[in-house]
Amino acid sequence: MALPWFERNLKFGDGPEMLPFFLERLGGTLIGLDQKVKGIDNKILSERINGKWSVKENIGHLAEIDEIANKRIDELTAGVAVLSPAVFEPRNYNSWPIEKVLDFFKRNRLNNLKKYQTLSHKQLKKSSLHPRLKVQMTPVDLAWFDAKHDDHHVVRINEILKPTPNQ
Amino acid sequence: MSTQQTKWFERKFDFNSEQNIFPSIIERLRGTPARLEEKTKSVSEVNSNAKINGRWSIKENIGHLLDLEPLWVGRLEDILNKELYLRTADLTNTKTNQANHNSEYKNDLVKEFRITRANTINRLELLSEENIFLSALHPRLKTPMRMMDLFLFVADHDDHHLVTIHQIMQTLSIP
Repeated sequence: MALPWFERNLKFGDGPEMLPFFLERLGGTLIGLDQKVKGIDNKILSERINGKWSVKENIGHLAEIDEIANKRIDELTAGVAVLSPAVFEPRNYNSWPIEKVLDFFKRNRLNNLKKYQTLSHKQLKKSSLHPRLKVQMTPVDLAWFDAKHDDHHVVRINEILKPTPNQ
Repeated sequence: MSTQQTKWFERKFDFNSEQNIFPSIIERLRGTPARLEEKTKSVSEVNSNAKINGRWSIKENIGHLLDLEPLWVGRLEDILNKELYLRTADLTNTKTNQANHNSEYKNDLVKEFRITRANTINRLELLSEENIFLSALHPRLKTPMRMMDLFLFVADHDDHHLVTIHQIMQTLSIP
């Protein structure tokens, strides 16, 4: 059982030179998820086990986090004191075809990757306060944080899909 | 983006996590073959052989990941066998420099890496929580490296070479 996300100890502070690695990881999640769900029955992808999020809900959640990250990148470069809180719009991902959930995630992820790549060295060093963690965070920290968050949900998706042939 | 990536030997590693993040590390390692495959699928054999400024080609970067896998698994054995030091790596990368990976097909290298990495993942999935926190001294860094740290290091090393391949592709204007 993976360590719960909110119990993770996280250390920020990597410099701009680490951003290429984090962007590589963020891009890699799209590919990994695509391969993981390929050919898996819709019922399995939509199923909630013990009331926990289904595969589609995990992927939809990553897409929503990217919407927030997109806004936060703008806030960071604008120099706001405190980043916006993570507020989610309820969506019923289980009723969506998996392709639509993946497309939603892909669109948001690619937007963010593009946005990160336009940032200057100076912008990458700007920081704002994360509202939940109460730490100063730069765009580099945000990319790392989201890459770690991806891993967390990929582990969860793998736990759900483990008995299926793709894994 | 005007930022250059850090050189591998200049990287700093944080091996202080007391938490068991091994499941996430396994997922990162499991994802590398798919990322390599997807990243390089549109690259021709000619471009896969290109050595820019005398540096490793795309095939050599993939081959290097393949060449190092026995070292990672060997170090896994060293930790399980309670050796004081992990076995040393050849820092001059003789194996990769002499392997002539450019004479192989790119897709064969990727396929072979996929098989080799799957074997490593099978080994990792058998480790107990106790195994994950066992350690031996890293021969270059001279610091205790736990099983979890070792494979975090491997995942970061994978990323390093994926970024390098990405940069080669950018230089060659491959979309």
